[in-house]
Amino acid sequence: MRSSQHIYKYLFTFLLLLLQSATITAAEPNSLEALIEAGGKYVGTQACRQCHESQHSQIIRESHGQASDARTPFAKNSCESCHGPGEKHIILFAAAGDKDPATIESGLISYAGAKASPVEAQNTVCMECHQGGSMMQWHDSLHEIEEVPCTGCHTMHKPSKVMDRETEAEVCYTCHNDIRAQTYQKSTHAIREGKVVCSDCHNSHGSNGPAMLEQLSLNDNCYECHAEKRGPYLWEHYPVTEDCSLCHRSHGSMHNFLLKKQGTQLCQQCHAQIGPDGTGHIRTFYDAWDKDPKRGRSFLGRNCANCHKVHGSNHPSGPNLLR
Amino acid sequence: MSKKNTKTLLATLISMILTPGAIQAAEATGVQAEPSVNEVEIGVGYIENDAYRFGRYNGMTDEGAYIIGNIKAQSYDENADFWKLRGTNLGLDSRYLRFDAGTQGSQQFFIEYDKTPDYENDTATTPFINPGSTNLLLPEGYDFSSAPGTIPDPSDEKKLAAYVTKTYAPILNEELDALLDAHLLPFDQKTERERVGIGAKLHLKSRWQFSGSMSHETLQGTDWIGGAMGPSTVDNIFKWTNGALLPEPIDYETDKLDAALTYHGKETQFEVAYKGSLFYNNNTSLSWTDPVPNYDPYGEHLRSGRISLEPDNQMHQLSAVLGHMLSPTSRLTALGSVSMLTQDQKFLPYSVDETVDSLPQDSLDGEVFLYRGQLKLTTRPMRKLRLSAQYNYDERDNKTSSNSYTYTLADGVLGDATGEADPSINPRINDPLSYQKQKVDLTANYRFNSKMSLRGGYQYNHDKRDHDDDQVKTTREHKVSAKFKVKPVSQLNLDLYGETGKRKGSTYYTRAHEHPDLRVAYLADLDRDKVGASINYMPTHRLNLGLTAEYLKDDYTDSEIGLTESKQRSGLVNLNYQITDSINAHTFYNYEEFESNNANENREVEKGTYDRWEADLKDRSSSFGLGFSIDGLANKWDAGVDWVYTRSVGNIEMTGTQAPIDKITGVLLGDFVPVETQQFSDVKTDLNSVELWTRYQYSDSIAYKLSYWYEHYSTQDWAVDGTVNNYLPLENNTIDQYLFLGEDALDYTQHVVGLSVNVRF
Repeated sequence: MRSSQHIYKYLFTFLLLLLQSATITAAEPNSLEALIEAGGKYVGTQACRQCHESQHSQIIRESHGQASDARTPFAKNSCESCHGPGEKHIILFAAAGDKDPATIESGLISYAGAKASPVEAQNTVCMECHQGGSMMQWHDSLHEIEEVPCTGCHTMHKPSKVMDRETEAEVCYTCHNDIRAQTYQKSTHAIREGKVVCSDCHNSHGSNGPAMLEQLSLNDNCYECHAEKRGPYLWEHYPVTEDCSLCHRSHGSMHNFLLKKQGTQLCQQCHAQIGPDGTGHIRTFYDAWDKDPKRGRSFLGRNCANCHKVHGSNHPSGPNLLR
Repeated sequence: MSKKNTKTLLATLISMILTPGAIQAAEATGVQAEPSVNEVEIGVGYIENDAYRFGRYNGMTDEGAYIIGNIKAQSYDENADFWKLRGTNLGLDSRYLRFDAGTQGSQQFFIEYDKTPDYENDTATTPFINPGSTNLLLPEGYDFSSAPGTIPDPSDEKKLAAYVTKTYAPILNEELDALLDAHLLPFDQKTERERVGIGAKLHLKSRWQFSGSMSHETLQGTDWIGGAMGPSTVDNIFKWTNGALLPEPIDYETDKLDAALTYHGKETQFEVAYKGSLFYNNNTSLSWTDPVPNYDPYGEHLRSGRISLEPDNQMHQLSAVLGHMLSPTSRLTALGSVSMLTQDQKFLPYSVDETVDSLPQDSLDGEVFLYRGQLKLTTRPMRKLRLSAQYNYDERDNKTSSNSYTYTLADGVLGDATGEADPSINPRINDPLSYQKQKVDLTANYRFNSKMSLRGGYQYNHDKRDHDDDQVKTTREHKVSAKFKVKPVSQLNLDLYGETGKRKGSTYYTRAHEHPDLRVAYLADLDRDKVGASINYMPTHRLNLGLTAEYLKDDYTDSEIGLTESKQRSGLVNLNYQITDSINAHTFYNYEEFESNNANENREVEKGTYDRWEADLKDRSSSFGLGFSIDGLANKWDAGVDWVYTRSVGNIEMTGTQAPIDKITGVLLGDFVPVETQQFSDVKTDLNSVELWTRYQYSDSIAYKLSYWYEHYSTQDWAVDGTVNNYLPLENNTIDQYLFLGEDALDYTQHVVGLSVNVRF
């Protein structure tokens, strides 16, 4: 009880600090604003096209380049909406010739290469327009905390691989090769084949669910494709109702049906039935020194599922999930 | 596809690919300054072998030719009117097609079609003549002899058991073997999922948007389900429940509807959304006749059974999400959501013998409400410090009524688990699950300078469960975590992180018939520790080397029976190297290891033995990948290779001890001594996959692509190896009274070649 009181005290103090700080408008030197200010005046698209015609002709075929859509960068300052004013950049370039002008020093906001602008500045530009809808949880999401730049996954001037179901996973695997490895295991979702893609389950911009899942809970996510398991059943199997991941992995497993372990052992983590005579139906499955092998049915084939409907039963006589 | 059709298809497509004159003529009329992103790919591929598993999700199961068809096209005009078309695998069972159109920033529409096969196995067999039906029938003449000679009186159990074992069972087993030998039919475990969806997005005013979509999905095919028939009433070694793995007919439909109204303000954003999901199963039950004989010499052999299949159900969810910038450095987000889950499928009778008893209600009238709430505040009181606090509330309020239902073990026997003939003595009351889960998550991140930061977090989980069969009413979990990030030089990032947590439950109540020392794993007291490190080295912007290692240990502190401990080790080495602007290489090695320990015991008073056993599970998986690509070689050639090798090995090591006990009182008479234990074989899977491709740019708009895919896959799995005629042969010419599907462990070598032409337009 005493330790609980301490915890609540710390919680209260933390929240107080948090609320207090939330009301402060910090005089933070905004690196994005500094970059924009350093860039000088806006010079217009025509000036950019003098050297960057290729990028321009590509972006006007993409969503950001549609000037008729009032929300897009091209409805405002075109290239300079995202890259900042170009005056200083042009002056420096004129002075330096073909020698690579230091883009940061010139005030231009750069999204790639060795002299890319700070990630925070890059992402702030994107969030000016993209902090609603599916990106509402970007702040303090795992990718934001880890300083993943938006352009780490998205390309603006040409079709983005991450926006195409066929190539989306390639982008994610750049950082998540462990997940890629799991998709080559014995039991997987159809991830390798591109029929299930990362964004079917995850929102890489942050979400209200756990593990950046699209839905509000893990089970809700699974029910998107496996609605038949949703129930509610007459006879529930409680851990199944609570959390699919107690038994299943999601990206790949060396056991059938994405199970975390060999079937019988998985069930025995929670079941050790004992009969009136001291023996038990479940307890005896693995007394492998017992020479009576008729118990093979309990571990061969689908092991416990040879007889039991482990996700629940709606049969009025199915309390043991046999029907 | 027939051989003749295959040849015709091959000839036609190859001639199209090799004579691109017509396409070139079209190309001459529209030259573009920049390469178009619109591309259609058409060609032909050839699969060398029948390999069901290879085509599990892509549909490339059978030897022969297939059509390569992909399309990617989009167009915008000056008014932001646009259309987009994307199609993949159009010549296969895994095809996908989507068309989007509209005016960007005003209204957009889409229509989508997606098909996903799941071709699980084609080596299964069954004696039923109509797999895929809801009433499985045995072939004509599938019957067993009556018991020969004089059958001992049932009151003389010992004599009856000897008669069954020595006289009757061998006859039945021989007959079963002959019947299965003659009648086992192959069937494919396969399902196909098809979805058609439409949707729209309307920009109502500058900051308001409405989006909606609906889809209809079907899942059809044949899967498997376990069918338990119930034991013979003879109290001898054959009292075990008869059963069989049955072909299950799958015919599901799911309708979904999503609608959302969103506001995108500069400082405030919110969304109100509805989500509906309606599931229908066109099959309510599966009936079958027991294919395994009943060893009761007084009983019927061909007994009938019926299993309920997944019931129709619905889910409706309303949610509201708010995001608001309290200040330039502080943001508040909040969520509220209510979901309603319903299920009211008409019940089956207790048994195929519908005279057993009357049901207390016709259907469940199941109703569950899920209430979720979330509040999150993030702020940066100073430039170097970020704080965040989050509270989550998740309640499952199960309104489903409880009632008393008669328990009959299975259709084959009208009685309870102890063999009582009168089922009414064994009523069972359903006990719907409700719970309430709360979580508080606090994190603080302090950036000392541009090279160093420290993040600390505290998480508290408080879960309450409410059902009569609870082992643990309340669990509390405290977790503390820290992550230290340092950048000693500009090219090197080093992360060190760790987490320690403790879960403690309220008083543990043992369920009826459960071992008193068992602690159900997901509710058991638990100490969890995790440490990890990752290094990212980027000496140039072209070269990136990553190393990650993690160790996790779960100690179930109060569990003597059940899961006592588990460990997880993983490591990843990752190298990406952009050698030049046009040459890329990557390689990775990933290792995962899962260890756990299960403990259990068995006290057989009649035998005078007390056995304890432990199973140490060890699963290891290694993957190695290597890829290389080159673009624009001699301005004409692109090429690439991607190789992945994966090997998984699972092992269970059994150890046991035994002590003598009194055959009447069960009192321990001696010490536990180690006993020899039988061991299980390893479960192994090997996958070796190599994909090679090259693309030749014949002209600005035409390219040829040649691809080759080699894959070897093999498994070793004692769970499916070793059955004969779908049953497990036992000692003394007996069988297990259980019929499996007789599947083979999967093993294939596959070669696929493809030749296609890519046309830009």
